[in-house]
Amino acid sequence: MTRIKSNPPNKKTHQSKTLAGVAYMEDDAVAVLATTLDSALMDGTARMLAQRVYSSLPAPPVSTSAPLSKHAAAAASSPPADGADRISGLPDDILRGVVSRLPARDAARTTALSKHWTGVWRSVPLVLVDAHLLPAAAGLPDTVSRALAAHPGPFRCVHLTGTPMAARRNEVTRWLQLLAAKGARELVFVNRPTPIRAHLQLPGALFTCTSLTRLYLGFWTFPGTGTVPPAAVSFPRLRELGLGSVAIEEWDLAFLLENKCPVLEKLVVVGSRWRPVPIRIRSCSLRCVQVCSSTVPEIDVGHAPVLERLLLCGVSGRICGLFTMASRIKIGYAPNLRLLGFLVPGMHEPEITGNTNTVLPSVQMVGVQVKLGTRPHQGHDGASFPQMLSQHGDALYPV
Amino acid sequence: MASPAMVTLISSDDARFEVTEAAATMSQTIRHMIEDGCTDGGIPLPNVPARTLAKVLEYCNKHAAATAAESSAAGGAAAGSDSGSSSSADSAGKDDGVDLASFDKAFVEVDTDTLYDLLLAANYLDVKTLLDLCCQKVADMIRGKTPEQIRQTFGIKNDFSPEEEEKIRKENQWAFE
Repeated sequence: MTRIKSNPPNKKTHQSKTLAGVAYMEDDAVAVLATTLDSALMDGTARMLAQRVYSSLPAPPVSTSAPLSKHAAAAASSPPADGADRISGLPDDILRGVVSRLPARDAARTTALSKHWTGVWRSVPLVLVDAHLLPAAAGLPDTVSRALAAHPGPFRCVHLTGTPMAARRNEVTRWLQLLAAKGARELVFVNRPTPIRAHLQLPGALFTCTSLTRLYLGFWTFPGTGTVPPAAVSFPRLRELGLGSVAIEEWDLAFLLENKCPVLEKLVVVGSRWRPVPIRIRSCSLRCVQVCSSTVPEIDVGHAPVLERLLLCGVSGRICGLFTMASRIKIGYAPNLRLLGFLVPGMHEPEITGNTNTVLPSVQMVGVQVKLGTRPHQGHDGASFPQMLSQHGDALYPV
Repeated sequence: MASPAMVTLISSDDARFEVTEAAATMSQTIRHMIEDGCTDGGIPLPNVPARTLAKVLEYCNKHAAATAAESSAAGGAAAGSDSGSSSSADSAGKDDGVDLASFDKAFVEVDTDTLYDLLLAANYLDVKTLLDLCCQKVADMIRGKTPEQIRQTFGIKNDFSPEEEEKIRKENQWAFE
């Protein structure tokens, strides 16, 4: 269920409410920004993909709404009875705790309260959500640039989702350089292309952001890892990677997973439709892989010793004319895989390629989508499904 | 069921409070003191006056009880799955979540002086969720206000010269537009 608390500013926003995700849209300002995507220009598929991509984004850590301040307005009108400034006497850790819970603009304004407060904002890792800067008199991109430049870092969390980047290529590079220089830890970077298929090449400066622990990209073409020296590509701290309608070469994705993200635990691929590539997973750290609303000819779990969950939702193979081909789901070495699904007969061809046998002993749950009333599918998957059903009969959850 | 272990806390003005160990150990500071065996004759808290300690303990009692209810509900749900009687335990757990959120909100509906006392006490006693709650409350009182309004709310004295203030505002012009 989508929750949008603020009143829709106009009819168009109201119509495009369905673009809202769940957790991400809890934040009013972010919801307004996402729902003003010009959905009138999108066809049904594009709208659905945009919705999926926004839904997959993590919620920002601070919000412009103030849940605890219902009566604060009344209290605010009456200053302390004795006129004493006790708040400035609180330990700096507490003042930093307060400022860290404010949106960037409110947080930066505290520098002008008094001399005691001048340095507090600069000593708190920055949380910048561009939606919180609206309305921006100087334009959103300029305001973002100035905010990123004004704070010395580190950047705890930066969400940039409000700017169509096609006309702002210089800013894209400049922002990535600032994010790298100031130690950004979490980055959500979503383009707003028109039309939505017109992906823009993300510059190689992304690879300099080595401090990232969480990275979600939306509507970009991922920079080729071959464009920079191999040693320059590294995300040594990255634990979570989300690719929302991101075009990436098969080789680049495989290279990143196998060699360049040594602590990556979660991979989310959403809305990958326009340049389908196989997803090849060789990673000693990945625990969870989610693939949603994507065209993927093959998912090959070649070597994933700690992988626990492989979640598929709306995954199909290539579309050839009127026909949708099946996705091949190959499981090689995944000794800790517990959850696999949902597999759809005819849409997915499961294949267990481990060298010992064709059983996945660790799997506790297999989700299989079954259409009741139709004959068992006898297509490409041949004996695979009956075989899996007999092996995991105790743990099947057909839907 | 055995009666819960109790501890005695002594405020800076020598008031004694008897509370369950579960509530008291929401404070990491007190937890460490208990682990170190410094509980004989009560635990002295020389930085916390009785008025504030009573308020902090009101918070800790409520949250410790909710945690206990939640874990017994979870245990009940697991045990009840065979008999199919888990629904009442489940709904009790959910009610507690809603209840706690409204308790927290009402708990920090206090004057600013009490809020500062709570912040200092939560910081000293190291009750992380209470410290978070109070910081969030102050943040919510700051949000959306101009510096002048914030100064008025908290009695902060503007000690800048006009030139200094102008310079500070220029440095972060983007935040004042």
